[in-house]
Amino acid sequence: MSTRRLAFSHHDKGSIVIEIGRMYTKVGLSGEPAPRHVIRSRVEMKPYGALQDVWDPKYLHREELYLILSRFLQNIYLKYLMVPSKDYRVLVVEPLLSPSHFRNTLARALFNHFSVPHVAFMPSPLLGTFSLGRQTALVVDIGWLETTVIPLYEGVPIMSAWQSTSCAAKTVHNTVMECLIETGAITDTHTQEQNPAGTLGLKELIQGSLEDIIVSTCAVRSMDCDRTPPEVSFPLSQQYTLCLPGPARDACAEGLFEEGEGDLSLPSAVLESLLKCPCDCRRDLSENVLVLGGIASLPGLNYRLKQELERLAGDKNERFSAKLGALQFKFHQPPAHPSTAAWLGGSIFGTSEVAVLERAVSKEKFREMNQRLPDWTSCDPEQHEQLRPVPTRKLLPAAPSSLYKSTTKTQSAH
Amino acid sequence: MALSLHYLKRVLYSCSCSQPAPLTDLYFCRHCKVARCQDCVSITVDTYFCPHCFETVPVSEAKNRKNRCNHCFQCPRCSSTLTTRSIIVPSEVLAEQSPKKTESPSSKSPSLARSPGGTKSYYLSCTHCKWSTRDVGIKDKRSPIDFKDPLSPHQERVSQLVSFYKEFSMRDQAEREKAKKVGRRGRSYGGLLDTSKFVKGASSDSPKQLRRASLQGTWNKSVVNKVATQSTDCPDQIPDGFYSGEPELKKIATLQQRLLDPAHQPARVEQFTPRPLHLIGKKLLRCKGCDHILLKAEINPSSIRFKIQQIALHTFPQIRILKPPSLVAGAPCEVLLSVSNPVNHVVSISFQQLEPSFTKGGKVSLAPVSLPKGSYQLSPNDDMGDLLDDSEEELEGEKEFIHSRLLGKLVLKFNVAPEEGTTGEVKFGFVLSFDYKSTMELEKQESSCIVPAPVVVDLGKLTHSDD
Amino acid sequence: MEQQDVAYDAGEYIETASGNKVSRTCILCGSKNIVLNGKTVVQSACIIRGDLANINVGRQCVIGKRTVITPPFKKLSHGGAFYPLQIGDNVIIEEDSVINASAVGSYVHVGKNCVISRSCILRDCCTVLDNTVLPPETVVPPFTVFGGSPGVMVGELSESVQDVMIEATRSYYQHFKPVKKQ
Repeated sequence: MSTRRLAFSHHDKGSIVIEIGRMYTKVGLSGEPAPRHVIRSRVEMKPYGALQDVWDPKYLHREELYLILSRFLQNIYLKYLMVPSKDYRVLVVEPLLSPSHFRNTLARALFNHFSVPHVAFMPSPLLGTFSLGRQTALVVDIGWLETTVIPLYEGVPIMSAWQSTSCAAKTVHNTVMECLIETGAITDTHTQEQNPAGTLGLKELIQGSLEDIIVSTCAVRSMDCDRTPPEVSFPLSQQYTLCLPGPARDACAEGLFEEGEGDLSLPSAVLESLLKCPCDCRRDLSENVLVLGGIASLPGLNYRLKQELERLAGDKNERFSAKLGALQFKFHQPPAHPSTAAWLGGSIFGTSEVAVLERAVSKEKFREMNQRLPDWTSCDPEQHEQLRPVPTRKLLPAAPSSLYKSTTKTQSAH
Repeated sequence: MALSLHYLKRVLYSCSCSQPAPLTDLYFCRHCKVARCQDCVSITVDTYFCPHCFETVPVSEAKNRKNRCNHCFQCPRCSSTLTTRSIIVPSEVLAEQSPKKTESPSSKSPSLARSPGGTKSYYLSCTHCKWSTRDVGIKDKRSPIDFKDPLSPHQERVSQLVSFYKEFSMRDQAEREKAKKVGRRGRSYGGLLDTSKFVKGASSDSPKQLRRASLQGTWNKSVVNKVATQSTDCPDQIPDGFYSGEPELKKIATLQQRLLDPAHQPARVEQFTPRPLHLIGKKLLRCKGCDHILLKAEINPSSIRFKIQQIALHTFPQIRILKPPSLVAGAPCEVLLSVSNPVNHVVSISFQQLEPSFTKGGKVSLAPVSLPKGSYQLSPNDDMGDLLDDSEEELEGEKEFIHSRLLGKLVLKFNVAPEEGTTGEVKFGFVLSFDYKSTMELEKQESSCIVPAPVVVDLGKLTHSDD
Repeated sequence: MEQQDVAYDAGEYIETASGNKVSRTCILCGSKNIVLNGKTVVQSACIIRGDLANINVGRQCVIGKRTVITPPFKKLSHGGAFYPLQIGDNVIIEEDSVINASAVGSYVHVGKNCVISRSCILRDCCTVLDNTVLPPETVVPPFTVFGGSPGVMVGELSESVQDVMIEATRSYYQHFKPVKKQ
């Protein structure tokens, strides 16, 4: 008992919880209901001053990423969080499949540049469930480039039922953009001249405020709706006004529900995932759907998804009806904006020192591991000793180790 | 206005971590005797203060306030600073009616303002977009610090979840330690995410263990059910207004406005609340090599002085392009660079070619250059400099590479041969070595050492020859 | 790059005993209330409203073409009043800006085409980027960069601003050279 008291007697400062999304980064301290700051994931690169996206594919596999990330984090520590980096452990909320070079570089920056004592990497779907206070959920994480569907049963990710599709936030952006180029018109308020929105130069103008257009004027049409919303004139700048045709406003998410070339639509990805789950947990999962990501805040998205799921599951012509036809779909409302729900899960999880440290890599350990985070594909026998395989391993797609780690029953020597 | 200030980025010095930076952004560690840039120092926030009212906030206080000022607020609409406006509510009116009905700006009703026994009340307004707290129905306050950031709507729920999971993990830990003590086969339960403690007997092979697991399971199940969110059968549909009328865009918040307040993410302007202003900090810089302090500012937020300020500008000879040279591809062009002495004693300098490894990793292609040979003496730069007549001094001997010699400054000739087909800026590089005389008080006798500084000069685009 | 020579028509500028160079095309209202502390360059077509309140400009400042400097106006319970404006040393104000601040510190750089509204306070060692509109009563802390409309903090300055500004203003003054017109 005495050791236990020792372990808890010191005052725990909590963790820094950081989620570096493709577009926006959420940072804050654990235990708080919302991130302190939501900022664009980019950083000004001195001395030339160009804004550099953190996730720029050009640098994603190069050594320069270290510099980009360390400057980005430097900005976060000094300007936004204003806390000494040495004093706080860091909980990184990462997508289910994060490029290993990115993870390693991020860990290297945190340990070497900022002397962070412990860093834990946790996948966002898993953390999303913490914001619900339950262990079972079918998590649909709509990212910028990719949507991942992963069932979590009693806290265990069923990796074999993992699904991903490129129907994601970018699809929505592209749909709106295409729709606008075809049907939108831009009025020059000075000359009253009207141009089609596809005109060169004006396109970039729309691109710049596309996010705002979607957030403030768009919604997701339900399947049985036959009305058309009125058109809107959206001021792009002082000079130009965009006339947004009605159909574009509620058709923004249509791309999510269409099957692409060799790609699943959002509802079929969900059903496909359910299909791969053991049959006795399907009901629990389908009645606990959690949709994460900023796009989930579009009005009507969950309703439409439910309709689509029921239609597909009930459709006799589709392959799902035999096994999933009787399922009901229920949705969760996390106690946060959908874009910060995963972060919130991290914030809740991060307060528990024991739980974080169990999954964290310490600075010393990281050095021992030659500055590489353990990856499940690694053939290093020493790492295999730490991460004993689980039976389903051969079926797993490439997964980051933290997720893998959470599925193992035996923990590494802590 | 063509100011020399705009061209600082033309000459980039290489930091000891081989990042290029203008001399003004570099520091110099007197102990390691190398240049340091933002990327190879450790920076911490030294003092916290409000950028508007300049109140210094102690570290612990800043932490409690989430790095925000108590008195100053930011406009939720245009993110400029809000100003506090006061009005005087006469006491008799105050007694009769609720205070919010009696507001009238003091400037319009001087008679009221002068009435004795009135109470001041405050509201916030934006000087740029004219937003004010009255627009969103926030009542005027008795004190300007009464405007508080409203709690997150999910605060209660989140603290419930936090305490639940905290207890959960503590129990978990206790269980495991007990198991370890008893000396069971050291099977550790995977913590929060492990199935074994939920599924009755899944991992147990003795009756005792089974009983424990089941007990634990019941505790968890009941508490979990109490805490867990319930899913809903019918998710929210599109609000009715969406199809019936054109949305009033002026009443819908932009994404940027929403993200200014991540806890509430107001969707409409009626939900705006004044945002407490974020604090800024003065930085403390330490050298990563030796942990000595490179920069420490005075505590007073409005002061621009430093207790310790080891910037490279005070040590390194500064190189500038004297005038834009005419550059012709394939031909050697004379480039005049001035080297100025930052210190008030003689500094000797010399130039070497860059090592070939310097450009290997980089994308910069450097033009070949012939450097001035030998070493040169820079005359001391006295502070009297700008008081004296700056007419050019007599040249001390007609040396081949010296163009002119000024007080504390030397203009040297470089021969750069831009390669054929250069499309971008013509750049060339060299290593500038100077002898650094340590003036530290601790070291009694003057010690001096040679400090090399790789420099890359950007000369601009090729001049188009007319002939 | 070293400051390049800026040639001016010798006939256009008046040079005072303390080294101030003021263009004849400037409109200096209430010139007895305007103090230039030496080596300050005031370029053509500037307007300085000394008739409203005292204006004190520090040493070695550069005030660009067509800039308007007005003392700040403060509304009081009855009427209003103009307050004196103090501008520090080594300040550069570029072309076409309007300054209505209540104080401008030393080593301040204001870009082109800026509006520094009523009762703004620019502390020492700060920069306002080109085309910025600072809303009334904005405070710009030391070592910060403000930009945009409305002007908000967009960056930070390095700690060597003071030396950079001294050098920039000094060399500008040195290279501000008269040319005789034939």
